[in-house]
Amino acid sequence: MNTPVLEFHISDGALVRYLDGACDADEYARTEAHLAGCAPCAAHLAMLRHRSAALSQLLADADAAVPAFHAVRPEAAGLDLSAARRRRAARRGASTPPWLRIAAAMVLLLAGGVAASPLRARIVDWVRELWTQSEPRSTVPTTPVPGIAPQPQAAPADAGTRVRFTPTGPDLIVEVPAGASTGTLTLAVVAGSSAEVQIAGSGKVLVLPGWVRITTSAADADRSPLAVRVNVPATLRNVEIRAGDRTAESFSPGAIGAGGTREVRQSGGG
Amino acid sequence: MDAAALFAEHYPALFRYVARLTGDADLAADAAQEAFVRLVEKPPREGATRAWLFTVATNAARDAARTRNRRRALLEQRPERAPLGDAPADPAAALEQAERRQSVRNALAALPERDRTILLMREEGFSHREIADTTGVAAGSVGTLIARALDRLAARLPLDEESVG
Repeated sequence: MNTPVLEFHISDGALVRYLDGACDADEYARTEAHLAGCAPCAAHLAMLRHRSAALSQLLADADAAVPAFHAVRPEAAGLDLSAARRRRAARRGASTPPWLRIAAAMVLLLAGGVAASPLRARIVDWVRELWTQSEPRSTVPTTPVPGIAPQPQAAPADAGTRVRFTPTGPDLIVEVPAGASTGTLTLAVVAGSSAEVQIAGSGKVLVLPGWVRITTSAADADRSPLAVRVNVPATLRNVEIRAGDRTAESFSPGAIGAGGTREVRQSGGG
Repeated sequence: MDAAALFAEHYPALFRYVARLTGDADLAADAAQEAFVRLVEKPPREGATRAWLFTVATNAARDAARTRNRRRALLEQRPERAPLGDAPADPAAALEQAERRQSVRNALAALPERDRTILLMREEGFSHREIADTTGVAAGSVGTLIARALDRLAARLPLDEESVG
């Protein structure tokens, strides 16, 4: 009686494990031995190897360009503006104005030909619940921040639920007109541009290459509004602001005259 | 922790991975950013920082995708609101590149999210164990899922052509 020959082949999963070096020693040895005597499995392994390489090539060919951030000041990560304010207040005594003067100034110098490159910057607010206002304000704060022209304007009663952006020529001023605001605002400066960011108010500033993230918390008891000034070159072409899940607001600062105001409502706004 | 060094080491691959995963470069930049912010604010307790970054970015991208889909729908209704990009230097080459990119994105998008994540983490050199930890599948199943995903992609992309690969 002939003994039936039991033919078996290695599973696809095991071949991928072999290919990826994910086998243990025993499985590796068994697979090696089998492949040495099994042309179909060896061919199948070759096919998997070829497909893997082909996929790598196709993916690489189709890749989007990696943003070329070259920002500096990572050592400033975690700078606590609240602490800076408390130290300054202690030095100045009780006469400290309600606004924290310049609490931090950061310069992002991004590599690239500033004059030649199309310059773009965008402000990204990505966190879903960006600014949670605990109470509304009826007016926009008018106390001047050094170097920032005040923009006194009557604000609607629900201004406390808004983030106000006031582009003045090449400057873009972002104001959060409320005390005790909590949340996170992220500024992203696109490669090839340069910008200077000044922040006044209480908040935690986190600097990563290409980004400045400002976070305020209810623990900031000074109730100072947080203002962010972004100086960008006059050739700035496009600024994009996103608040929560709302549609991005895009505009060219040069197209809006001095004193022009752009407001972006938070979720629930109109 | 040297955030700048970690950023320089991992950001390009992290961005590339999320961009492939989502087909959305803006979303990828945001998700990669979120991962690094969390790394600085709440660093992982143990080593394996790279796998941790990719896991955080994967989850962040998944969360952000829903928001972005809504935003994209709005932008499509108001195309004049879409941010401007630089004009391509060579329109024909740009078109060809765009078509190639789109076909790859379409093929990846047709995969279940879990399989896409597995395949793309493999592309970034993660071990089957690391892939399993991120995706929640058994490590022993990763090979099978990769092979199956390659099969599906081969039906849409020229993975079996001799000139590719």
